Amino acid sequence: MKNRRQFIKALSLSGVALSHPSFVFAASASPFTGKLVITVQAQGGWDVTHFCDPKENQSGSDIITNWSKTEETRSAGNLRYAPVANNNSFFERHYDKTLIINGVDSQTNAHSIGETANWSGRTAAGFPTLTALYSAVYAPQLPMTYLSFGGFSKTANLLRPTMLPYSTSDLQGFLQPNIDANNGNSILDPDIWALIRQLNVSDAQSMLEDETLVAGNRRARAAYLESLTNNEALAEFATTLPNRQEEEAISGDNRLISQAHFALLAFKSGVSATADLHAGGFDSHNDNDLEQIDLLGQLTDGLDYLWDYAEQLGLADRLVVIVGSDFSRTPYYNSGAGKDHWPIGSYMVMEKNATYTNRVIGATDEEQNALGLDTRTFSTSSFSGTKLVPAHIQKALRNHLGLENSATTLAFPLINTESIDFFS
Amino acid sequence: MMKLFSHRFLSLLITIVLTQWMLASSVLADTLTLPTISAASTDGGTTSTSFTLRAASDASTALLTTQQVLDISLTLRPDPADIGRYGSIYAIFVKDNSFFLLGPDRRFTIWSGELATLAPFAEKMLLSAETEFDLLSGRLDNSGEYQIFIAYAVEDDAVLDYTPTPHILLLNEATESPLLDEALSIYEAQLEDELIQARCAACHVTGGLARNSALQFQRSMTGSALNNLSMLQSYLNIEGNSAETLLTKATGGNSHTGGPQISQGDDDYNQLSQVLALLEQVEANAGLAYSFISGQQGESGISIQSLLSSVTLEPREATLRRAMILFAGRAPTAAELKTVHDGSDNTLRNSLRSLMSGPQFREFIVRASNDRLLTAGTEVEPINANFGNFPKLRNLAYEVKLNEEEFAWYQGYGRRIDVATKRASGELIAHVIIDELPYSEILTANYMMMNPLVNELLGGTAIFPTDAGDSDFLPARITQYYVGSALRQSEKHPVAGYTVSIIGAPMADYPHSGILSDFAFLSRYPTTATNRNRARARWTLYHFLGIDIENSSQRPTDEAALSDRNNPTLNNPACTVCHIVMDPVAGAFQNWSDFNYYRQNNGIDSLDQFYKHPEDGSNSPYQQGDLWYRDMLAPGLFETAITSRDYTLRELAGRIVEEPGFVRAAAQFWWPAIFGTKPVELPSVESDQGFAEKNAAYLAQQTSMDEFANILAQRLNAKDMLVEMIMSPWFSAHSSTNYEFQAVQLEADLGAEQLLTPGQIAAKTQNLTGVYWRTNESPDGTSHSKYDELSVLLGGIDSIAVTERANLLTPSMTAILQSHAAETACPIVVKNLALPLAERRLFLKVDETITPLSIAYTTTDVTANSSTDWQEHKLVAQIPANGAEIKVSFTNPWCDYNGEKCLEQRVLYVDALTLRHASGSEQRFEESAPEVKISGQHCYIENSSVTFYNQCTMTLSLDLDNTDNFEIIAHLAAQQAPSREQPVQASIEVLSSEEILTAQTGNALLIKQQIIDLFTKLHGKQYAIDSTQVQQTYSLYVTALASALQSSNNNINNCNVWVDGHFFSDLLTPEQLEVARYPSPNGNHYEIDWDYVSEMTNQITTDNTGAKRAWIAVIAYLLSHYDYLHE
Repeated sequence: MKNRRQFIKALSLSGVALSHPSFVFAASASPFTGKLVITVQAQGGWDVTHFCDPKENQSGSDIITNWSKTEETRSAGNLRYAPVANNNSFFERHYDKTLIINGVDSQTNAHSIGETANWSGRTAAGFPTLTALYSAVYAPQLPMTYLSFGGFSKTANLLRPTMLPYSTSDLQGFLQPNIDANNGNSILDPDIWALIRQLNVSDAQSMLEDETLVAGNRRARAAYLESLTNNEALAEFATTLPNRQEEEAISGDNRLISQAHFALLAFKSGVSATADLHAGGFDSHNDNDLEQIDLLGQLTDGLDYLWDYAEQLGLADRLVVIVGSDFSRTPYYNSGAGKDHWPIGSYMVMEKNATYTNRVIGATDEEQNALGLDTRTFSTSSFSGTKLVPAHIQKALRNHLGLENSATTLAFPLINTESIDFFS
Repeated sequence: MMKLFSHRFLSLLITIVLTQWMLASSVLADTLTLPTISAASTDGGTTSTSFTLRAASDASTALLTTQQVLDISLTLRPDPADIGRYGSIYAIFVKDNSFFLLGPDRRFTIWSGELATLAPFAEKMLLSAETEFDLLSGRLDNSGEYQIFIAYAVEDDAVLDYTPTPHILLLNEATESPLLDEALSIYEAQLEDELIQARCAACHVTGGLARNSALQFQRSMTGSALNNLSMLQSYLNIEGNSAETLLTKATGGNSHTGGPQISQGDDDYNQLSQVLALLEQVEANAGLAYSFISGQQGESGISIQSLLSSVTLEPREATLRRAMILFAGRAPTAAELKTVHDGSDNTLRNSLRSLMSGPQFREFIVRASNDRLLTAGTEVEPINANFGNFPKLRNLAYEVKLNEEEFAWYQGYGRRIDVATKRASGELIAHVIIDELPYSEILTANYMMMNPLVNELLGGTAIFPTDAGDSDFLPARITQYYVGSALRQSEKHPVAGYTVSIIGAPMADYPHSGILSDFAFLSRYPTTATNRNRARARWTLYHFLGIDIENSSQRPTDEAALSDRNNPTLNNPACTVCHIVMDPVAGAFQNWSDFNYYRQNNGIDSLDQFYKHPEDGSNSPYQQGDLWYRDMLAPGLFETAITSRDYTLRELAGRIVEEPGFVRAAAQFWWPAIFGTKPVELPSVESDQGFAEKNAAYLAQQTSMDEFANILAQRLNAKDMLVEMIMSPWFSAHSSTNYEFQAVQLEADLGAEQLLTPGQIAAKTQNLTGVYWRTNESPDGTSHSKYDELSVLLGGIDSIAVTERANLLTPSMTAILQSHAAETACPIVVKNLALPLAERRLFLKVDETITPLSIAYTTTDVTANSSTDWQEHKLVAQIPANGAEIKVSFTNPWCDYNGEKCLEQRVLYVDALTLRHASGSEQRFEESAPEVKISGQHCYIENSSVTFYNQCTMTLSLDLDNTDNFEIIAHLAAQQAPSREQPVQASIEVLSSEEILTAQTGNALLIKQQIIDLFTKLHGKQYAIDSTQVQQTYSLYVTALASALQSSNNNINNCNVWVDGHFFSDLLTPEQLEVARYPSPNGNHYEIDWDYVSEMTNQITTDNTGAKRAWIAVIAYLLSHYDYLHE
């Protein structure tokens, strides 16, 4: 035997080392070039009167916003916003890539139902998020096709989400299993490691051959096999990730920034197509303004970073960003200067160079009650028109992203929901 | 004779030509009689025996379907010579070329065709001229053709009379259930709205008066009609229930609390009666279902028609192992496995019960409890040291902050208090379960679990041993809680806050109430001015009564209802439907403030100040002495008010544990922990894809939960229930031969193989291999683990944003677990091989000198002191004929290199090798001999001897005609390194020249035995020595060995022993460890003196034979395998 490599190869080919048919690792598919979809879930119920559906106090009514005691609503392009937090710079920078949909009735005041409705399109459980659906239809082959940092990330078993923690820096050292992160050397001989992987794969394939396997076991085994054969692509991605110190330097204490950073790197590396970013803490039953202004500031800072870094990575033209929440907050303050749950909220959809942006669709009245929408002209009325619900937005987004006719999508029909073209 | 019989009989079975027969020709009214078949005899003799089969059914037999219940019987007319004798009767069903043998219990087993396993379904039967036998009664699940072979033999005679051609039974696929369709049609049109929703669901619903009835309806939503019909069906399935009992109750009889809702003879009665009759008929038709799908030898082919249809359970030993890994983190011993193998189910039960104690089980309980309660996700400190209610805590915080500032408080105390309080609820549940206290005590406990620190600061009553640390918990009562009026505050310091002095008495009987008054539970579900304890109530109802209030009724989607400002939770029917259940429970938390303290308003109440004193000056409904909001429902549980003012939670707890829903909720609470997957939620949208399967899965799980709850209810001993959960198919279902229920099983995630949680993988690796991957001991006795830090990335939860565990691997999770395997493999191998045999977890059969071709091996100290100080070092070995090698190697070269030269170094000199035969003849081989080769770096030939400065080997190749014994003499000299204690060492080894992959040497067999052991310990799988798995792993071993031997050095590259946090503490003596490690400057961790440990680490990571690297490859393979990551 001339050398070790030949010896190992000969063993493999002899069929002795591998008694099962040798597995050919999936050849790398062509890179994913479609749109990249991000949702930002402002969990807890954001106060849109402090953001994209600004409300000023009306005489004779309860105080709806403290800011309007001294300030007036502002505009950027065709968008109107509340002059608090970092809204001014945010809307000035991004109005041209932003569509606001106001007056959306979440049909609930319960958090879990609100999340379900806003991110899957209906109040009943069982449907996937838009992002999961998109990944399942367009990019199921990517190893981390659907990223989630928490919040509502149901997949209806279409795929397995990659759940991510507060800090993702640990991944840097562990996505290249046989590499010592301290010195870049192989831990085991690379040829031996390749053989081990091959054995794991062939074993996993054999374990699936048993036709009598009970369904749960079959699913677990299939997941293992798929995860084995699909994780080599993560090695290169790992090299792009920041370490703990770099991550902290990038994001400071704004976790949304580190999430955006990670998601964009994953997109750039071709390992992911969608991501749900999570911004929690919006449930401001006490000290509403203090909490909302701080969190909205973090939210818009995170979105700023997302777009800036997407530009830097050359991804901005492919990005579709959907921002929303469980619902909104009452159009009045409670005794603790907080605001409680209110079903009428908003969505924000952002996309560069789109024809539908710099626009507001849907509206609420002075007391944040939803107005009816003429779905042809988009004019609003207190007396007639369609009351927007999350299903309308989700259905339109499905259409906008070209998902509506796929067999996968058809299994989750948003029935009795008018198609509204927000995105023409 | 029996052999002949076997071949002939089988031959007939296998070579039978399929014939399509028309069966209708002999149809009777409801019985299908198959044509009588005359027997043949296995001895070739003549016989007049004949067999007749009949298939009887309640329905028409003109076209048999898989939905019909068939009674299949046999009429045997034996040869007259056998009449009056005793006989054994055999029946074999052939379906799709697979054989199914009917057993005495009228169950089928897949038959391999081996004679040894052929068994009669009836024996010692007295044969008469015509004898009837019932073969089976039930449905045949699979459509198509069945070939049925029958045979009999008289006692003490091996000759069989058998059917030379089979009886043929044809079954058609039943594509629908017309009875069920008819029932649904009537139900939807006539009963759902007018009777069930309008009348029954007023009480028979979550939180309703009849909440404890077995009949629980779903309020109107899209799928409620189907679900409610399923509920009626489930109700009828309960033993003792029938259409009659239900109709009796509905008409007000049989003590129906709700009185008459329908009258006999009215439309509702008639329609309900009709629907129930149809459902009963559906049930009657179900019965047993026999499945005939092959694929796995030795598995049963029978099923009860249900989700668990034809599920085969794993062997008891496998269940024991999996439970042991989950509960104890270790693998069972051979003796423990044998006990359950030889024993009964009760033996397994006892073994399982014995696992339910000890630190690993406690950790399992704490972790599983947190998975539900999520108290670890409490984002603010559960016990707030800024308040003075616990004076010792406040004054200590003041003192530390004054002297060392805020961070020092957090590091020294705050963090530790947080950790302890967030664990307390789980520790309480663990305490109750492990000590076999009534499970109700998780809510009624008049104590909480404290560690020494919390005990000290809260005035706890526990008495700890002196060596107790932060991770030790005991039950304790708070004795030092003071309400504000019993305290006086000092001036406030800007950083340290204030101190308190005590001017009154502590609370005499602190109102502990198990988890309900747990600081972290209260904190995780905080109250606010408007929330008013509703989150606490919502989760109390969910966790302890199984009531999911958000899903218990149709949610109002009406904008007007949702934006109603007139106290809608009290007044708006769309809201009160839920709040009527939730708000009284919220009221029971009335005494606990938003900071989780009792009556924080100076001991008066915990009401929101703005409620009592509205900012806008309006009148408040508050009245002096009120403890609860007057614009909310009064404290209570369901229809019963809570009368206590001071001990409201205690009273609530007492009420909860008396509710039947409490034990049911317990079954639900423990379901994910035991089965590794969440229970199926009741589907609510009828048009959803898979609705029927989800519904079936839901109902099956609910039925099982009822059974588990009943077990818990008997003694309130949680171990009883946990044991039965593990004994159930939900834990140990392995395979299924019925595809009919696959979709349902998939919805239910039915399967024995659970992905281990990060904590379980940690415990498994630590206990099975002895290596603590990236888990370090700290000087304060705590442990920091990467498994915890990687939790979410490995499928775990953070209890805040990520609250559900992943139960399937993703590519990133698998990559991390492969890292785990790659990194731990070397420490596992070198550590175990360095330990004495008695202390090893693995590798009890081999050491590093055992390689497949090695026949004899020795290492020897060469104590010579110069290049001419020749010594003889000997090894006696049998050298095989037709090829062998003798190798002399330098095993411990060392050089103190200063960048230019070695200041001192070890050198080995080899003069020659001599073979001495027993006869006295001998032959000397010097380096110049053609049979001798020198390999390695820095090996020089000088003056007809060889000088080894580095890892060099002299190899002598032999080709003897006969195998014979020899004394092998290596002529060696050495130069020592004076500063090193260890002298020069050399190894002498004799190697066979066999083909390594097929070698049958003793060592090769030992290595394969070791591989078998590793599979057993690490995967829980038993493989034969010639199995694919063992051969394949041996090939990997050999490949890695060859790779190691062909590499240029004998050190293991990148053997990161530091990844094992216990590496040095396990390998060094306590005295050595004192020197080898020392606390870091901040005291957070230990630093290692790498200079001190380098010689030891160098020595154990040296791999002269390649065996260590070969085993490292095997371990990396086994640890990254599916079977290691799942139990």
